[in-house]
Amino acid sequence: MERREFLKMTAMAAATSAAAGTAHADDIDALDPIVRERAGDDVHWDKAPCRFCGTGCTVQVGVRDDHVVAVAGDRAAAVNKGLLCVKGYHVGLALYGADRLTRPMVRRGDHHVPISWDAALDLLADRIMQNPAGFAFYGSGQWTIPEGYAAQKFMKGGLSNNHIDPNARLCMASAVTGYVSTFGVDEPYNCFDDIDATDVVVLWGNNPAEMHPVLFSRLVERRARGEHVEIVDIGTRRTRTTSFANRFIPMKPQGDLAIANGILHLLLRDGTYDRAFVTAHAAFRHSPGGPDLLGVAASFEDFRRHIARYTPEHVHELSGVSFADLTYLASLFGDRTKRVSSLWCMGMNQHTRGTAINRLVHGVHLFSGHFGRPGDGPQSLTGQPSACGTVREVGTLSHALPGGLVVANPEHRHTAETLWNVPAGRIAARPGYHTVEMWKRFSTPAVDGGDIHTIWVQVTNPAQTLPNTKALFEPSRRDPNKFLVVSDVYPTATVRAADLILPSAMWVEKNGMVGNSERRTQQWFRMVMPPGEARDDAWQTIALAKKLFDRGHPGMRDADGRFLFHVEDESGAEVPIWDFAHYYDVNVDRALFEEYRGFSRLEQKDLAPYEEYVRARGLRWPVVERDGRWRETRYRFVEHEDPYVEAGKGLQFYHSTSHDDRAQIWLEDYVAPPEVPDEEYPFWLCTGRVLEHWHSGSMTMRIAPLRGSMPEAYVEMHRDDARVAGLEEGDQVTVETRRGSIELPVWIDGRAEVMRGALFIPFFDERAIVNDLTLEAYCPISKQPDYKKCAARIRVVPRNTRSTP
Amino acid sequence: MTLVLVATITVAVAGYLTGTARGPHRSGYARLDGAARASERTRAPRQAEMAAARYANRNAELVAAFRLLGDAPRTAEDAIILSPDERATAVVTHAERRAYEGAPPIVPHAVDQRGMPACVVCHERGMRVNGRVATAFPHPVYASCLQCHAPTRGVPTREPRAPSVSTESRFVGLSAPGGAP
Repeated sequence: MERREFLKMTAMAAATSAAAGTAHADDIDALDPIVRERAGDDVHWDKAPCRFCGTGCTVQVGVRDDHVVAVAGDRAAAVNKGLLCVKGYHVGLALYGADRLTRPMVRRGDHHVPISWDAALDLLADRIMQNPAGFAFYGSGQWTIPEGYAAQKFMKGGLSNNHIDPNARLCMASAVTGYVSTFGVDEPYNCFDDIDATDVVVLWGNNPAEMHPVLFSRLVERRARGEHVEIVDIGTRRTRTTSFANRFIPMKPQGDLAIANGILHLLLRDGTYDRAFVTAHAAFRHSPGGPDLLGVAASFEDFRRHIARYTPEHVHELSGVSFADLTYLASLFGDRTKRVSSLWCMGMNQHTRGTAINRLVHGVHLFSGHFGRPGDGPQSLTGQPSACGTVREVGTLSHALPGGLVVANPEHRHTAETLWNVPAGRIAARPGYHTVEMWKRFSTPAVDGGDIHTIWVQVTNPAQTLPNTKALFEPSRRDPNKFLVVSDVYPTATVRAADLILPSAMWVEKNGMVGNSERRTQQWFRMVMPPGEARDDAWQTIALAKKLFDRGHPGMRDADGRFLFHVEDESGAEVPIWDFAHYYDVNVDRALFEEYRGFSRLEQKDLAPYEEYVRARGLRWPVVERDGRWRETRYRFVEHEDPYVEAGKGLQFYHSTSHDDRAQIWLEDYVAPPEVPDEEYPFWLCTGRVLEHWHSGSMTMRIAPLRGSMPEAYVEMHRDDARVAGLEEGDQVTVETRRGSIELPVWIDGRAEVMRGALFIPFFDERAIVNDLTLEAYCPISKQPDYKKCAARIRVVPRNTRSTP
Repeated sequence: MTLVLVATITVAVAGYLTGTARGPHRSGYARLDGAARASERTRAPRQAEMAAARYANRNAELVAAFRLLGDAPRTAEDAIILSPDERATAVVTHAERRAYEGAPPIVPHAVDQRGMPACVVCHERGMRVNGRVATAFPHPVYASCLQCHAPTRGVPTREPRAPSVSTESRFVGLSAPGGAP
């Protein structure tokens, strides 16, 4: 199909879907009537996005007597169409572990004792008042949008302190830098609709059958309907996804850089790239002076010279990929009669050259013209429910401001100061510390330059999830001058190591909004009361701000002298939202969101009014009002889909870093990983997730069916390596790296099959913290560490001498 | 990196030829010693071999599954009319295998964790297998069954690690109408 013809069809499809009400699925009964009938009249049902991953399934939550009693897939939700995964079906149980934190606690010697909320916040306020610049806020892609926005405004707009960074730095920072440096703006231009339309899915180090199960089902169920969908799995490990794949292409760790270059090489050599697309929509870019986010323009000749060395022979040498497999990939991309989607997640992002591989995969799509049609483009998936909504859009990163603005840009600072109504100069120009730097400085004594004295952690578990925890986390716990504050719902490894523990409300115990992997903003209401004295994270931030306000901190006042989080009721009177008894007198989420919306219009990331999200199962931004309706956008930069594309342009990269509506094809080289197996540490070690557990397992290990299915961590080993080592399945081994060691049972070809010479360990189990072993080396641009590659060795633990955990 | 690989392979081949490749190294660390001889690679066992001790360890579940096949019905017609006793048991197991009424049940038997388990063979229409009843899917057939149904046996550890977190839950789920707890 010609592009012009396609665009016409897209325009018609867009008109139809708008007429049919894409935004609101009022005509579909969200709950299966049988489920409703069986549950009975005393169960009240309401919608909420699932608490777990970045897919953003909507669940129907059944509540009776202030208790969640059941969960069902929401049939009106476009993402999941009534289906959930095993975590989603059991998400309601996450609230009810018997060891929920229900009151603030403070460390006294080697244990924690209860303390009042008031005293707890006083303690934290005192630490900040002593040295505001040494305070850091470590948040999460599980922060709701209003929570992240409150933390962002408190830090950058209140304390003039940019030391705020989220765990999402460890999860998708390389996707951000990949998008920004390629398209001039962050986040996928496309959406999950691609999964319904694509002919071929290329998975780059990705295992969606376990990590994004509902999306994966949405894909493979097309086969059950008789459609042909080809799955090509490029990876270092044969996973559950591989068993559904038409072709598995094994590669050496870090081989992705070579493969992408190899595809570009063959497309150019064989003349199968899309000359018309490249001429009209692409420019070339490189950074000859070393890694850089934006780089400088390169010529086609530069590109030709650069790509010449990535012959199939050289690519084979670097990646282990066969000539046949590489030729096959090049032929896929060289064929424009098929629609080809690329999907990736941690494999490409947790990478010491994460920005480079993100750029290269975008480059393969741009160079081959597989871009812009439904089902035909590159898309990064996120792991957390609001990595996009809260981290990337609200900008809770050390260098960012809401709405795609950055602190380093004076105009952006001015804009933010105006929207926040704070005095000019309030926002500091220098980016704060990114995650690894923040924790390094927290774990370094003040006299040695460790200038972070207090970190407040919300909604994440760094004691288990930071890389090289022995170096980045533990030293601070032995330094009496370092103060760790943790807001959480269960006693995690981080909570147990904290100086001050604040109990949080979670999920449907509070109002919330999140943003999923496809720019979809979702909303829910509080449905049950939190246990004991557990309270909303946003309230905690606002209450602390009020403490500082009362102590006279000038940053806690806006330009008119009012409290930074001034919220009024309908009569115009200020509501004392810092007092939890009054926090729900108004909808604080709505107030924060409506303020935040002002930022969303600056970089074409428009959000609709709060009420629109109440009605919808999420809306994909930009959401723009036309003819009295709020319309979401499936495909950015595409005419007739994206309202910001000028008429007649077809495709327009209106944030282009070369200022000519073009996207950038980057010249990137293969660079070897910082640590590779050697004589002493002969194995590759890769870490990751499993279907049943979500991240560090703090919620899912308290849910019996999930824990029962996957009760403990293991080390996956190739059967030939096990045989050579004299190991049988279930034998205990000690896995060691230069940074630490843990003990685990061996599982051979269980959940997946690793390559010879490789090991895989999941990170959900706090009794065997694999991040004691991992390397903190990170991408020089995104600052995201590589959890997928380091060198390890294993020692056999003689049977019956196992140490107790 | 190429050099390292070449060195590793060289060491490996030498190790193999001199007979030191097997078992833990003197240091106590496992060696990554080249390719196992082709004939040593595991081939798929024949059914007759399945019960042999050599495979019993890692394939115990598979062996059991093969044995069960002998009892499988030849036609769909002789499947599933529950006796009163079976019906009583089914009410109990129905509740035991679900966190709440409407939750997907766990898989109460061994299953291939990695691939696409052949769930449809028994569960598409339901059948009796080795004295147990495989219930028919109450929903459309999906391919990725383990996405919703958690298998009960995973990591093949000999001594399960003691839990570090509370395993007690205050969750009280919806129960089946007029039925089990």
